[in-house]
Amino acid sequence: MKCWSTLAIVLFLLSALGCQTPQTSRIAVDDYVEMTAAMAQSLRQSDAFTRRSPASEPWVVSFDKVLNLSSEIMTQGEQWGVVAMVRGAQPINSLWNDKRVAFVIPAQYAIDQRGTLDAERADKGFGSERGVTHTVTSTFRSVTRVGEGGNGRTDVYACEFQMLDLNTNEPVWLDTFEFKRTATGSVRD
Amino acid sequence: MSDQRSTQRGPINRGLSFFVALTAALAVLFGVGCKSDMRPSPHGKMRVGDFAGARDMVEAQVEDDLSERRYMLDRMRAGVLNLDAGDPVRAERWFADVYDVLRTQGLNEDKTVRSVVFTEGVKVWKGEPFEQAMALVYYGFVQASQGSWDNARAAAGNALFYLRDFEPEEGGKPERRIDTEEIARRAAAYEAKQRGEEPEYADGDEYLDNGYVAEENNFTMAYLLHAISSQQLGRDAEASDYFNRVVKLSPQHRPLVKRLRAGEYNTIVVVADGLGPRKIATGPGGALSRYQPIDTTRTPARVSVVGQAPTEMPAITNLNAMALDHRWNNLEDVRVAKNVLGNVLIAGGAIVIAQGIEDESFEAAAIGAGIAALGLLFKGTAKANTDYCDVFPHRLFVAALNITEPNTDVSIDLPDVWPPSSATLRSLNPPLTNQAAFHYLRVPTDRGLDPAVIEPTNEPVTQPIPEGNLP
Repeated sequence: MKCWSTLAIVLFLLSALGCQTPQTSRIAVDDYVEMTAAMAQSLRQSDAFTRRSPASEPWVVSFDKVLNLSSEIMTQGEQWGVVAMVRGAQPINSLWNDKRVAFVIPAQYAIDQRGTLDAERADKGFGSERGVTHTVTSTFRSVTRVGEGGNGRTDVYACEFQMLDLNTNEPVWLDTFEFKRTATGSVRD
Repeated sequence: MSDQRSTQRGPINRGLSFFVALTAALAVLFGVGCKSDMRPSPHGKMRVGDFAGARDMVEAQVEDDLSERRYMLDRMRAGVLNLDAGDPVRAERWFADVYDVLRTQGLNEDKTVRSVVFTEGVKVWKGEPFEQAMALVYYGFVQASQGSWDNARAAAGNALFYLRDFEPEEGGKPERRIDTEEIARRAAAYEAKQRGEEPEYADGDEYLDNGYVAEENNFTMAYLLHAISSQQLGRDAEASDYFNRVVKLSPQHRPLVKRLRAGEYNTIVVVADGLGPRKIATGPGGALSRYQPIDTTRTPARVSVVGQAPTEMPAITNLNAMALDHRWNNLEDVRVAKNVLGNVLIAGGAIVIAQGIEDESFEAAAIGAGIAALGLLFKGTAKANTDYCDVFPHRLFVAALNITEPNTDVSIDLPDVWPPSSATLRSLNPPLTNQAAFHYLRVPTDRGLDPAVIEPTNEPVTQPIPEGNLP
């Protein structure tokens, strides 16, 4: 009996030693949710938006695809996914009610999605009944720090957004949202 | 007396029997795990240019469970072969999974002890550093093929990152290597200067170059992809730093870099040929692993555009050399020690068994058998695991072309080799945007005098969305 219990303990220790959950320092959905809330707040507090009311002339704002200058590989689908997520977020959508600002996805989305089901829907009269007044460009950057021996990695992401008035070509809003993701464990193995 | 002996021997015998059975079971269980998973090889199809056939074969073998050892390896193979077969969109799906696994840390963290005690086969395969870097450069090719130069830049940066030596210098001091925060600071200072603002230089920084190149290794292809991608994004200072690095690593590519710097191109063609080295177990008890070249051709490729003089392309990546430079050997000492210990235990066990037989002692014989079985277990699990990505090419070449006429054919030849290898990239068009087009093709090596003809599948969309719908 003693032999069995010793063996069981040894096997348990072997299998449990160093046990930990795999982690990643990639951007997560939660980061985008937080970012859109912060973005909506930043827009509301900006000079351009504080002057606006439900009676203002509507603005139609088109999102450009993310320019990815971070170390992350974000596929075109993921880049458009970020745009769709930001545009579809409740804090952003609510800007229509009290500020008369609507956010739309640009035609480039339809071009990139050609041949897919989304494109079939999007191509038909895509954006034909709207007059875009502003555009939002976004650039993602990141800085990476790795622990000694390649153990542990931290990525700091900075997502910069700029809204441009297409009539005057002047920026009306600019802000950067940062978040940090840390993962333990070897970056290679 | 006899009853006394039998009562004493009973528990001992049971314990010994258990020990022998357990050791033998472990030997069988983990002994089989040390061999690599042998699957039908796609090499035959690849040699004759049937990349779609090779892709189908490999895709049918893909493991879907992330905890399976071959999860990432299967996807890496499928991604490479999809690009070989001219389908970057399908390749992207596989490489996205590969990237996801590479960016997941601690996947094998809880398996380190078991991999030392038992076999490396318990770990999820993440490949050698050079395989990780190659996979990321291939992901970059996939992105560039689809016009995503920003992602190609990120992929090239990742490839360089995974070849980085994270160990501190001898003496315990951290490496004297500028980190990415420093790079970002210098880059910000440079960009501020470009905007006419006063940059915040530290003392002496103004004499340095732009400071974009963070990772230092010899993976020229990744540096070049980074340089071209940066240039396509209008980041000329960054591109310049990476071009400098390419010339420093490979002076024979100076003419190519000169052409690229001058922007005298609108199409990048990456050519792959041959098969990369195979991983074999070698040394005592197969405890060591090494990469054995399959193809060894060293002649440059020749690229010809109709109406333009042929250009010689020296190889920018040779996987045979890369495999020697960037691979793990962290478990080799353990495996060698296990092999030696296994030999000692087997020999010792045999002696004890012989002694037991001579003395007519069941206990001694059983102990000897247990020791020998333990020795077999150690030897069986000492063999190096030889799983490797068997679809990477032997070499990569890069050509910068200026395609000015629609339906231009580009031919690639590998002269002075037998059988002669050639391929034609048919009906290339000038790019519709101000960004360069990217094409990848793999030259089959066993087609004899019958050149492969490849139709590009990533031609730009020729029917834009009606202007009326654009913002």
